[in-house]
Order: sequence, then structure tokens, then C-alpha cells
Amino acid sequence: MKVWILKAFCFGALLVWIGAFWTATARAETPAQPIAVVVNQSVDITTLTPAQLRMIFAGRTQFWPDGSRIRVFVLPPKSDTHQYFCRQLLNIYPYQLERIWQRVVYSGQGEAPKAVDTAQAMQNIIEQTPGAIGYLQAPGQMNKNIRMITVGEPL
Amino acid sequence: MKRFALSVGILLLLITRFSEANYDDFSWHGFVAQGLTSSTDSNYITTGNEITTELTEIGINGSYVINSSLSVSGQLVYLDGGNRFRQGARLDYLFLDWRLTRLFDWQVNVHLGRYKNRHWWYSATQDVPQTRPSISLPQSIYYDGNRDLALSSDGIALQSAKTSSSGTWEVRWSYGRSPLAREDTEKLLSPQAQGRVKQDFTHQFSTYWQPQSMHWQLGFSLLQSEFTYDPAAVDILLNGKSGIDRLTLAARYDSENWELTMELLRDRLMYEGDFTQGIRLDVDKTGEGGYLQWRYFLQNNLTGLVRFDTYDVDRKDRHGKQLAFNPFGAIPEHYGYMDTLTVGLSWDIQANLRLSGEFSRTHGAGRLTAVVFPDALVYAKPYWNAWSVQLMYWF
Repeated sequence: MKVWILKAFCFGALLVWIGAFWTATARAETPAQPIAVVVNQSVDITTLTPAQLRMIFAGRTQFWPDGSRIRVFVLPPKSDTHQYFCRQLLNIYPYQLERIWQRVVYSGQGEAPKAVDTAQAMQNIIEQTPGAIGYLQAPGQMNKNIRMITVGEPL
Repeated sequence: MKRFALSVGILLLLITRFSEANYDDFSWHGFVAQGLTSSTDSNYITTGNEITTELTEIGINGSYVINSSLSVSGQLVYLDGGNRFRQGARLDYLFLDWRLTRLFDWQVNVHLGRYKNRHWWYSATQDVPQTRPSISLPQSIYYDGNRDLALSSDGIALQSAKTSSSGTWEVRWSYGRSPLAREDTEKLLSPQAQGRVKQDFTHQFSTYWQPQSMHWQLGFSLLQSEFTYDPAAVDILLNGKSGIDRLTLAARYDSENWELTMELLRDRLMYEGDFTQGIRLDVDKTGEGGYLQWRYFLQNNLTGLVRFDTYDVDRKDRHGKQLAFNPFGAIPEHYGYMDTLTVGLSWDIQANLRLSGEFSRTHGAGRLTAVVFPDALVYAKPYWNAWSVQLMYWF
């Protein structure tokens, strides 16, 4: 009874796969680039593990250990810097992160990060917002109220 | 009704009070979705093969952070899904979120009030169109007839998420009950039943694990629920009790360009009741089913979907042969199972605007309604089709 449906499923999957190759427009490999996680000076943290960073950017951890709110900022999800940040620092695909945000926001569990348009806007908002965390590509000269934090497993 | 009005009042008060004040700790979001839909050779969505615009979903939610330990969140939804759901507004959830820990690595929350069921892959946001993989969810797990029962309950829920170098563990537990509308009694039992079905409780537990590589996620959930029938003064059913025990297994694999999702279930359904004609009903059967779903991200804004969904009402009667001997009248064999193949395509026109379309071919009708009383059956031929197109916007 169900054999025809299984066959049809496989055929449908094959069609989608062929369609994928047909329409594949060089899904650009994101070039490796140095990314720094940055926080507002008010944040009393110097190191985060990758798992902790993921909890924060997924919207699951909303408060710093001192009880103040975490304000999370990201660059546009389609930007190379965001794509690289997700893959290399959070160890997840950008679509997985967006799926988590949707789940958090639409089930009353928290707030998704706010997107800012440019690296300069990211610097400015991190500088002005107590409790803020974000990321920047190869920051050279940084605003005075911002500092970098280390991401890695504790020694 | 009074409770609903009160809850709506509280939610609207929250939204107006804090949105006017532009308060930093208040946030609100919403969605609007409208579509065209039809089912042919079945009354699953529409009656008589007609094409309808009864595919409307409108929702607004708000969340207010009181302090580092407490928040309150709620969502109002208006729903029109043709024959699939009770048309109208409902309060999907409104709960107090109490954060028990303030650790980065371990979050423990208690939800009090109308909490959301978070025990299956899509249950936490099955009411939100843009979060679903398709316009209709696989009926083996996300049975439309149970939508309001499955989505949220009034009571207490606890959830824990712990992350470490070995991965992320999530554990959820909940205990509560859902209010049922008069239409639910007709759908669950029979249009002739004059009384009301009441849910005594629903008790659920689930746990999920995701390794550090983040590709896999595995888990299972358990559910136990009981219902009592409260008869009217003049009624065909003198008394009635029913219970459901359910086990689901879930797995998902995320790749760069595609995701593969699977959920399997086994549910034991028990009914007992006495009828005026002297008939005693005593049913104990175990259904089995599940789905396998593959989504391919064709391009950054285009996603294809293929899904096979299957459900057998009674694992000892997978072809529905015994339904001919039903004490309330013979039921056609094809109400003993339901197998559906769905193909779909979603196009993200903008970051918060999506057009989705899907087509499904189904063999059987075992998941259109509770298969006990012939007069409660939703009409369907052995083979039938359904399609939907929906435009959704969210903010």
C-alpha cells in the first residue's frame, strides 16, 4: 500500500535535488576573515566559551551574571561577516540561527538580536548601549567605549 | 468566555501600556498570512471541491521583562482554516516566565499560566505560519483536529537547557489542561453528543540532545492525557472516559544546503462509555505513524520540500478491515489509515515576506477525524488531493 508513496517520495526528492543543481548560482563560499566579538565597556566579562556565545546569540541567555540585560546586535543575516561569524564562532549555519530566533520570539521566550546595517553602525551602537554585545570584522581603530573579548574553552 | 476576555484585556493592556512608553523591556511582534486553498474529493479543507480564501492567520504577541527573574508573554491569534480548525480568535498563550538560574551554561525556566507545548519539533510555533516548514503540518503528529489541545494548556511547565563542550541538553516537563469548545466535542465524539468533553489533564515530558557539531538533534517525548464526558440532561451518551498515551521519537540533520527531519509516534487511545441504546463502548487501540521530511535550500531565498507522512489508526488493523464491524455502523476501510505525500516551495521575497505553495496527494482518511462514530467522519474518497498557496508577512 505504501510502496508507491515511498517511490514517489524518492522521485520527488530526486526532482528537488536536480532542481537544486539547475538553479545553483554559485553559492559563494564565505572567505575566512578575522572576526572579533566586542562588548560595551559596562560588561564585566573577558572570556566566553563557544557554547556560551551561542546561547547569547540564540537569545536563550538574556542576562549577564550581574543581572543586567544582554543587548545583542548582528549585521544583516546575508552579509559575509554574519555568515562567517555563524559558521566559525557559533559553529552553526545561519539558517539554524534564524530558526532558533523565530522559535524564541514567537513562543514568548525572548527577543531576537537587533540587526544593524554596517560595521560602523555596529561600533556606534555597541559604544552607546550598556550590556551590548556584537561582532566586527578585523577591527582596527575601535571606539573608546568598546572592547574585545576572547572566545575559547577555559584553560 | 469571561476568562478569554480577561486574558485578552491583560494582553492588550500590556501592549498599549508599554508600546506607548517605548519601554526598552517591552517587545512585540506579529504576523499576517492569507492564502487560497482547496481539497478535492475530501472535505478536509473545503466542502465540494471549492477553492476558498479560508486560509487566514493573524497574530500579535507581546513580552514584558519585569526583572532579571520574571517576564510575562502572550499571543492572540485569529484563525480561519476552512474545515480544519474552529474559526475565530483565541488566546494561544499567556504565561509568567520565571527564570530560576542566571548561568550562561544552564537556563532553567518555569512557565505559569497558559504555557506553550514545546515537546515536538514544531509545536512551540505551529501557530505561526512563517516558522512552519509547510502550510499544513504532517497530520500524523500535528493532527489539525487537536490543534488547540496540542498547542497550549493551562498549568505549569518547566524547561531546562544546559550547554557544554559535549553539546546541548534540553529537558521539558509540563502539567495542565486545555479548555475545549463545543465544536471540539462534535469533532472528537459525534455531532449527536449534546454534552461536553473536558480534558482532565495532560502530562508531558521531553528531552532533546544536540552535539557540539550542531548537525544532529535527537530526542523523544511522552504524553499522557485523560478526558471525561459531561452528559447533557437528554443525551445519547450517558457517560464517557478516554485516555491517550503517546510516545514520539524525533531526529533532525542539518546540512549546509538541506535539512532532513523525522518524527515517529505511537499513541494508545482508550475510550469507555455507555449509550442510551444499551450499547457499551470499550475501545483500546494503538496507532502508529510518523513523517520523513526533506527541505532543500535551492537558493538563499528559495526552499523546496518533499514529505512522506503516514498514520495507521490501529496497528493491529493497518488496512482498516475491522472498521466494517464498528458497533455504531460500518466505517469504510480507508478510514483506518492515511498516507500523504507533499511537495512544496517557499520563496522569501523579502526578509519578512514569504510566498509558499504546496500540493499533497493522500491515500486514506484515518487522520481527518476520530474514527469511532460514523456520523463524525469527515467525508473523503480513498484517494484525494489538497493544495494551498499562502502569502505571509511578519514583523
